[in-house]
Amino acid sequence: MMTRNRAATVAMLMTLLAVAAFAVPSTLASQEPGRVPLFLAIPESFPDVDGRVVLLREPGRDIVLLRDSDATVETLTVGLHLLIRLNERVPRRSGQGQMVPITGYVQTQPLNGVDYALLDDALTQLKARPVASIGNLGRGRSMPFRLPDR
Amino acid sequence: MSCVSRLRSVAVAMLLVAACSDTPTTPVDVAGDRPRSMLEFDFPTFRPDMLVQESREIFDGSQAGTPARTTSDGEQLPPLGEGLEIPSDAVSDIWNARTGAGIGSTEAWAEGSHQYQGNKSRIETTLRVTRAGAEVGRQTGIKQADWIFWFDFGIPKSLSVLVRYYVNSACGFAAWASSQHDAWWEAIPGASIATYGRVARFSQSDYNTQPECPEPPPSVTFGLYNDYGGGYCWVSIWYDIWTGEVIHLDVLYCE
Repeated sequence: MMTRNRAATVAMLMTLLAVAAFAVPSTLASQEPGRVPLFLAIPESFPDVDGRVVLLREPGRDIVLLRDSDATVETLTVGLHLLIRLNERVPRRSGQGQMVPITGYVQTQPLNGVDYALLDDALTQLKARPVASIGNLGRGRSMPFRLPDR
Repeated sequence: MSCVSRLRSVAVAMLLVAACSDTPTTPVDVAGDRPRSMLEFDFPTFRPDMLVQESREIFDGSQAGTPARTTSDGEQLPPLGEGLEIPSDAVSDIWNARTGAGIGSTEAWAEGSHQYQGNKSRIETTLRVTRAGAEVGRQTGIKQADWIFWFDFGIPKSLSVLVRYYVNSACGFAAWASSQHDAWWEAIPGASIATYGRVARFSQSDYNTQPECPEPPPSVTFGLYNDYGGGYCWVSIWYDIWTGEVIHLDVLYCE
């Protein structure tokens, strides 16, 4: 009798775990409505595109590609800024990605200190990452990045 | 544990494993919204010349509306007859080499054009968009005209190329452009030994500006999530995330 009860309890617990596993999004699913996982990447060989920063917006993720020689807080700021604007204005398309090479920019106002420190820290972390394969871009450094809520 | 309980536990365990697995147990959703890992990467196959918007019109000099014939140095040339007149003092020539540029509230544009004599001609026009005195973006349009050498007889022709940059701002940007103009004779395509009479000219547009932007209100705080204070130019390329094939281009924008 005790064995049967314990077996039933275990089965119920596992069922609950299974339901919870379905309910909790995977690391790649949206963390909240309208926001998809964001990656920063510095490929060793930048794609043959005329852009200082390249954004990739896909149905399940955003990627900001930086040039190794030009991975600065400024370039990251511009990339993230445009990415935020595009996410607000341009709907994603099913099955399609949007590549946005930023061909040039000029920054006329300085970043505030909080943002600068945040992005500087992110870049330091990114550059310290080990070189690994990043899909068909070859090898490079990448890491997930989460924009803080404002 | 009874046999039934054991089977039930095994079934639940299998369910749990399936739920926790990152590998899809169903065929890939080609329609497309399955989240992809960083390593599933298909960077689009893209050629920069896909961005060039250009127009080419070629006509002989007898057509109505042909500009007055002057060399790029301003020398007046005699009027054309029936379009077969060959300037007496030049084997090949370029005249009316010019670059126009402008910027409005929705777009910046540049057009390079020239008339020429020769069976080959090329024009390369580069439009530059600036903000606060700094270049923000540039786009180059290239066009080459090829005419059959043996039946050309030196007919004056025209060549032009148009380059655009769309702008999402009605203030603060400026645009200017320059062009490299070339014309020559080439009896055998690709054979440099059969090439002669190469003429080159350079032209440049005026500097065209939008109105100055008003000063931002003092309450605005600058930062990543407001307005970092600047401008940028970009191009939007839509592609199939599974094949990397480019589907659509939204040309170039500045804002």
